[in-house]
Amino acid sequence: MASIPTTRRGLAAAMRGAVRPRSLEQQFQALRLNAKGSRCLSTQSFQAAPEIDSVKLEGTIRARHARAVPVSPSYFSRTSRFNDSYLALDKLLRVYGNLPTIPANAVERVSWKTLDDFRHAVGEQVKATDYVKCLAIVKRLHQIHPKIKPAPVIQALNDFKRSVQAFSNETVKKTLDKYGRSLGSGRRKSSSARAWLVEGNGEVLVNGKTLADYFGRVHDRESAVWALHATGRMDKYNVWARVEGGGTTGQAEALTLAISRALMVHEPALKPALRRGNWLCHTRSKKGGEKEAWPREGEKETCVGQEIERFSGSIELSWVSHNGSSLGRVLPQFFSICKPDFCNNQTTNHRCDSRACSHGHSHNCTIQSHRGPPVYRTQRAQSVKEGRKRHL
Amino acid sequence: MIIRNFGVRHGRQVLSAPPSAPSCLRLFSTQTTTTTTTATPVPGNQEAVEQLAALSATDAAREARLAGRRQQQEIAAIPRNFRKFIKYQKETEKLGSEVERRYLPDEIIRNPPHDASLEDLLAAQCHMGHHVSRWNPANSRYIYGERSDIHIISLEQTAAHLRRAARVVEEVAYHGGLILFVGNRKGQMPIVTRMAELAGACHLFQKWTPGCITNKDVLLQGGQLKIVDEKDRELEGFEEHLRDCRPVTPDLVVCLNPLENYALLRECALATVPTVGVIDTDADPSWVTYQIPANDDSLRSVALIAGVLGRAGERGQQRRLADAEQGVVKWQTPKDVFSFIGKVNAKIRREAEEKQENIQKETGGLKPADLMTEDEVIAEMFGQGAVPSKY
Repeated sequence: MASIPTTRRGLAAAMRGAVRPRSLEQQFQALRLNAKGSRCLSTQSFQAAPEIDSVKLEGTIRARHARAVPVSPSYFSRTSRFNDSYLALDKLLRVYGNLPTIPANAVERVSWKTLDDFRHAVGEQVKATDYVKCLAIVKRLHQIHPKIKPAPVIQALNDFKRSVQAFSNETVKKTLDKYGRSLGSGRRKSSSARAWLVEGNGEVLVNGKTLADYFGRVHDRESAVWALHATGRMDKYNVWARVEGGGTTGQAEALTLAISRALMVHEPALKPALRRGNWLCHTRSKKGGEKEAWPREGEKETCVGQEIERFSGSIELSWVSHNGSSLGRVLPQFFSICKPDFCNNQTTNHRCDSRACSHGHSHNCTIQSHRGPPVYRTQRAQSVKEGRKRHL
Repeated sequence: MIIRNFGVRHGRQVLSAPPSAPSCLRLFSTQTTTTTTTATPVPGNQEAVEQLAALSATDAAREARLAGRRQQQEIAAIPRNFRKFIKYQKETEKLGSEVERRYLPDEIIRNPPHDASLEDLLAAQCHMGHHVSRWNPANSRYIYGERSDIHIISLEQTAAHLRRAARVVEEVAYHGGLILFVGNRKGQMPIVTRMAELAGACHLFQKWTPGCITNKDVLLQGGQLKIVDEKDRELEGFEEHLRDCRPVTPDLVVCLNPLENYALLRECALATVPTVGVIDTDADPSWVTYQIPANDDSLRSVALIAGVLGRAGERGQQRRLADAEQGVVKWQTPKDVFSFIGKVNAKIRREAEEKQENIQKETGGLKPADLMTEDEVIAEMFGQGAVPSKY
């Protein structure tokens, strides 16, 4: 009889604390009981309700009225951002349209965002006609005299400027160094070349070797110095070049570019002729569907010599034609050991490499069969087109 | 001539002239005429030809350089001259007779009237209908007669309908509705944008994209919205709602050229959005809810009608804001916004309660078990059967 209560007491003591937690209401109810545990509410002492804790209820929306309205009044036009800026420009033109302008030829040149750029910037399918109208206002505002141009106009025009301003770039004018050398660099495929050009008598050193030693193929030798060759400057300059990477063709054609660029430092008047020969552009690679814009047999003859004559009267002519009937002087130190790498043997009607030819016929063909370095005319245009497509 | 009048008449000219008039200076200045020696090439004398060519080339270069410098000087002088111009303009603007009322073509857009009288309507050519052969017979009640083979719209009808439409616009604005002004004919852009600005409304001056009401979830999903209260102050804390909520639809559409906006008006009809439209004699009046019979081809006519409606919208907005200051709000929070507010507040309250409960548990409020008798504790854990009833 006496043992039961003790057991019960022990069990209850063990169970205390393991009891399921009760709700907040019950806990408060429990707190309201007095300390003795009696069920009657004490009228003597009680604890008042806690303070309203505003911190805990922070973030509550207390607005009694709320409704959704469009941010832009052009909400229903689907090009709301564009329309907003268009209307803002229109307003600026109305306000500042009477400010004096400067002549169009004296206005600072700015490359404005193209339609695609602008579409990317605002993320809307802006119509071309609308953008043209907008750009007309932009250009008119830009014509305001820069010293009078108000700040809001400048700010509004900034949204239409491209992030990179090509016209503000200043070209670094290349000059000869104190020893009279000019440096040009060129790349082709994975080769890169640097060429130093100095006035001289036609010696060429590529990575410490002569041209003939360095390039096994005559075609490559010709390619390397083609800019000098075509402009008749072969005997007027010495070349010292470093070439890295890639194979022989790439290296030779990288040298073409490097030498023509170095030549332009000496004689800037040659630029148009070299440009027309397309030896001033970097042609990246030969992969991927591009074609050599190589004049085939029967195609119209390109006469570089005539162009040179047209652009610089003082140049001594060296006549070059791609399927050329006549070639000018070719210096013996370049081509004395060179035989044409391809020969068009009329009798056997085959083409062969001179070094590996064992056909028994003589290789005393003239240089007539040689062709200029490959010109990848279509590649650049094609890649530009592809780039546009990708962009769209 | 009376000397007094002479002063008034010619004072303006005298004052407007620059102070140091360079008229006498002209006598001293001489125009430099550049004479270019044109050389005739002598056949056979190649050297001379080349020299002459070189000379003319250098001459041309010098000319170009000089021209460039002259242009630079002119450009540099522009701001100075402009400041002078402004100064003299200010000095002389009080001189001469005063023109009390001038005709400014865009005055009606900048400062539209609150109401249009019959004279105003007539002056704005609102009465001009279309050729009689193009009429829509449904408009016969608005037509006063015909003259030179065109229908003349009855301006009494126009004025009455315009007042009714203005009342509609004003009340919609007063009740916090979203109004859309549409006018997408050539030249209507300034009208539409100005009226929308006055009425605190949206505008459309380009083609209506079909589906912006009936397919709004797709077409307008990128449109930005904000939540405002009764005083048009932007409210915080609705980012989540704005991300998830549906695009809005106008509560009233005002269309200045219903003929070109068939798709829009049809969508409005499907979505039961009331419409106000300028109905010319060739338009179908059943396309819009509130017709305003008037000429919709003249920009002046359209500007006057839109101006009256814009002013009405402006009045409505002003009344709404004034009443909101007094605590009177005539619009209700939309259901989706209301339920979002309820959800957010409930969540915050729940979190606060949980937090309080945790604090209670941790910081030694009495545990319920402490206040139980031993029997109750055992009953709680093992059920009523576990407690021996008698001992």
